[in-house]
Amino acid sequence: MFVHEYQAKKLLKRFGFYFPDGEVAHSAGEARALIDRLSGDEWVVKAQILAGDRGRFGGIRKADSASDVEKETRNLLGSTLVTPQTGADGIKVNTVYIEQAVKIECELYLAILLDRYQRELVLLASQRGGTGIETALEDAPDTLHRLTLSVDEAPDEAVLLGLADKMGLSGELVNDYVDTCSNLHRAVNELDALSIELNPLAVVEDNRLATLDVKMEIDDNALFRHDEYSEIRERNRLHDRKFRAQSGFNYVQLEGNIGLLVGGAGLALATMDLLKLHQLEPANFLDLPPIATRQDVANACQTVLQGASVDALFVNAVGGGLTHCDTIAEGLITVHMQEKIRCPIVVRFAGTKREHGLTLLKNYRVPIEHAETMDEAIDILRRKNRR
Amino acid sequence: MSILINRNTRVITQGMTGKTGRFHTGNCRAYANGEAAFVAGVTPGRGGQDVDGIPVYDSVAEAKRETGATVSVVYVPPPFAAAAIDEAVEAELELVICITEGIPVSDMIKTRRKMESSRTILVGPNCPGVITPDEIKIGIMPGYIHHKGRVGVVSRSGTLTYEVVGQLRKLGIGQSTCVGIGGDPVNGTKHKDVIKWFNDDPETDAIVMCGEIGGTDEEECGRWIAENATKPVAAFIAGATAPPGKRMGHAGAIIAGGKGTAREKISVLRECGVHVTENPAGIGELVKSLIR
Repeated sequence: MFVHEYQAKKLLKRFGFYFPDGEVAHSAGEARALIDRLSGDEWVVKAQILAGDRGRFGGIRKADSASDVEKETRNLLGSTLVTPQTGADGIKVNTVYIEQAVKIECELYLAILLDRYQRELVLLASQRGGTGIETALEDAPDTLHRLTLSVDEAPDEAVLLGLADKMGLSGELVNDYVDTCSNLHRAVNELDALSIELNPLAVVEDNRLATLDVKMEIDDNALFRHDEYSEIRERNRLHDRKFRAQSGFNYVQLEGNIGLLVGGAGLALATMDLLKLHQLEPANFLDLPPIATRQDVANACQTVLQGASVDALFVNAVGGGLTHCDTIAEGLITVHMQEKIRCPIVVRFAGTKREHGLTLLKNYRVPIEHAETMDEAIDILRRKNRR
Repeated sequence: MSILINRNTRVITQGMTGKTGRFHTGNCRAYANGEAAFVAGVTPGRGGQDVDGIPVYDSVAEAKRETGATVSVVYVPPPFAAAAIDEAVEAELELVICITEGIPVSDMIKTRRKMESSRTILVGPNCPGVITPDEIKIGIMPGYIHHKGRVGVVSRSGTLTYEVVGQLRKLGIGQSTCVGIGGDPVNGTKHKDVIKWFNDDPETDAIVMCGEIGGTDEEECGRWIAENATKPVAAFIAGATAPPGKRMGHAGAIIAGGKGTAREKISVLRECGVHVTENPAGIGELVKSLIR
């Protein structure tokens, strides 16, 4: 899971990073009240959404008085931010982070991510941090420095000193940078992060390094060993409709109009490919949880049907080890009893409990068309899609 | 013949006393030679008990010593699964098949490091297991859809394997062995390893490989095939239409930084002489055309 900037900063605090003074607000009044507790006389009000590029699209506002902070907080809270990373619908802002503004001398980029294919950690560093790091890297890819780090051993100091030099740092900043890299390595390991990106890592007044923004992804498989993550997870789930929809299963909304309810990630991908091969457009990707219950299937089905523009539902299941066709059928029935499914439903069942699943659907009068094979299902969907 | 497992394989279930381990071991025992094959269970602290007539031991080493088993299957829950694999490796088993889904990435990286000097083969994690039809099934796949034959199947996805096996069945084509290598990026056996074994297996005539977006395993496999394979290889790569930057179900299924696309994989595989179909409903027919 990705965590918000303010959550990442809180998690990282104990590793010795320097952040400007900041606090969270959920209302304009709260924002105004907390200004007395923050140092400085100028602040930034930052929208907390789980997508980047906020700065260029109005998600970060400057304010130089308490009333200004209150005003900008009011403007941001409840508004919907659209950036290249949010999708066309944008994301609604429910929380802001108010931070003391600092004078920036220069902006660096520093990240450590887990390369699962090479089975090692990779440190990425660039002198061209800040907004638009991607474009900077496209114009001049050689400005990105790459170091391989061991998962268990601390990085070599001599190598980090060399890196600090490449970043054009001198004097006290060199040690500051080496410490920041070591701390980041420790944080990735101890927090079970898949990636932590400090961008920008800025040289600020008083000649020190400050982490101004953080992007951080936690390994979902490791949530169980960190008590602090369950609170973060719950909080983010409450505020984020998309996040809520994803809980328990992996859902990715796509542009098309054929909703997909498929058992298993590989078959789900293959089903998307099959639709496209026949000029049909999938409305979503969805992977059910490994041992799906009737309720899991029902929740997944509801999520698919609530997708932007589903004109037909394609249920493709090969009953196997963990999820059987009858469970999928029960999930469909649950949804149908609550809110009649109005769009055409094409069901292709094969494998374990196929007959039982089909019988259940028939008994509960769920209006489906059954297909024996994927090809047959495609024929039916194409016919329906002509409208 | 077959690869990895056959009617003479003797198996230890790690996580035997848990619901999943017990249930699937029961199903595996009911398949073909399973009754004789599943000889031991391991759950630390439960040694001396038995589950459905199978003796439970405290450690893999003890179970191996007492029963002569050389293979284990792991159903242990994610927090302890990597340690269970480590234990099987330390006991010098020949093969460990890990079914468990959701092992922390850093745990698996450490486990793979420890295995660097070991001869134990790991299949999975997050996989359906391995089956040699009519002889033995170790894992969670439905046994009855398979039947004995001369086509080897290797796949990253469980349900997609069942789909392929179903298509082969309709065409009367049986399988020598089916291997699910799992959808995690940090795993044991790769496509390339399995295809090498199939290529050396006298009772496999053709090979089907189901890959998916993410990583470069399929490409590496293709290059090995171009130089070494003597048998026809059919392939399908799932995720040709997946959007970049989104994780599609499997932790490994992600197109990142323009890498790991199906387009790239398909083109490399074709250059390497692999027969690739872009139609997931046409995999069976493709195999049929290759074996006549």
